[in-house]
Amino acid sequence: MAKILVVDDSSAVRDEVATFLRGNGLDVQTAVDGKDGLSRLKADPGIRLVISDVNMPNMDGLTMVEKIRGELGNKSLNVVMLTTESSPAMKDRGKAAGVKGWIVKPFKGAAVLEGLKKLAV
Amino acid sequence: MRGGMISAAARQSFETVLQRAVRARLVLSGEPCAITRVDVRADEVTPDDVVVALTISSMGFRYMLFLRFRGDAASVRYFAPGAAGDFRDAVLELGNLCCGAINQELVGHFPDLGMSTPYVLDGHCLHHVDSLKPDYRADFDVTLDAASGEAVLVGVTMCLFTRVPIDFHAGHEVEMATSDGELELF
Repeated sequence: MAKILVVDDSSAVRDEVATFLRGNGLDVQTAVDGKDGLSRLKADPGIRLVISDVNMPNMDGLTMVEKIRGELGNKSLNVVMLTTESSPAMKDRGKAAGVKGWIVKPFKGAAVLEGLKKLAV
Repeated sequence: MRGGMISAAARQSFETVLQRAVRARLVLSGEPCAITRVDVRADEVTPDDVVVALTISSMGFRYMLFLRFRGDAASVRYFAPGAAGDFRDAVLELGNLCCGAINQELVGHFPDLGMSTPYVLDGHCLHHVDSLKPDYRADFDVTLDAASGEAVLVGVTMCLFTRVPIDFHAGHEVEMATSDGELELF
């Protein structure tokens, strides 16, 4: 079963996304910020997809992606940002950091499920 | 206030963008929503109220949004129907979505915008907003007629702080980004 890590400081979003994905047969872990996300990735190399917020305390989502590629040396893990941010500048920063996809909140699970499943393989 | 730094068109546009965002993000099930401009927010704040504060910043201005969610039973039922303990987290995220919708529309006019994470303030802080010396402030009462028949009230305060003259026109027919919720692959 594909393993997905959902990273968001909002428990409402974590619960909404995780419940939806689990209900569709996916194995989901959650983390409360970028720092927590990095720890969980170090502990479980089987995670195939990260869905992360951008603006979070302690460590933001894009810094986490930069550390995934740099500190962890993981160039192949797919990362999708789920955020209220939609500016071209922010997306460009995401692309430069190695982000694979971008979803502007609110989360509409049915609209993105198939795409997320493909990225989690 | 240095309100003259913000043109009349820009003031109207900021208010229009705010009202669009409120209707798009705080109305959860298509209920009727009335947004009324008020001059002074003098009503009592209760300890159960949750005030969510967010900031949008650019090189030229800073925009602060305060959303006061009442902690009454009608609001809890409407915004956090699962469990009462989820109310704070639910309204924090709703504030985030609301400010995000404002950010999404403003970024078309001001490409250098950045948005904060949401913060919770003590409700009494609302009585001291003017001490921040905003260049422009607008207060609104939002009334949602929930399906239960109960009115759900939200207080909204918008403050602008400018470093340069601000002028733009948001237009009246612009819809929220149609790509919301879709997966954009790079």
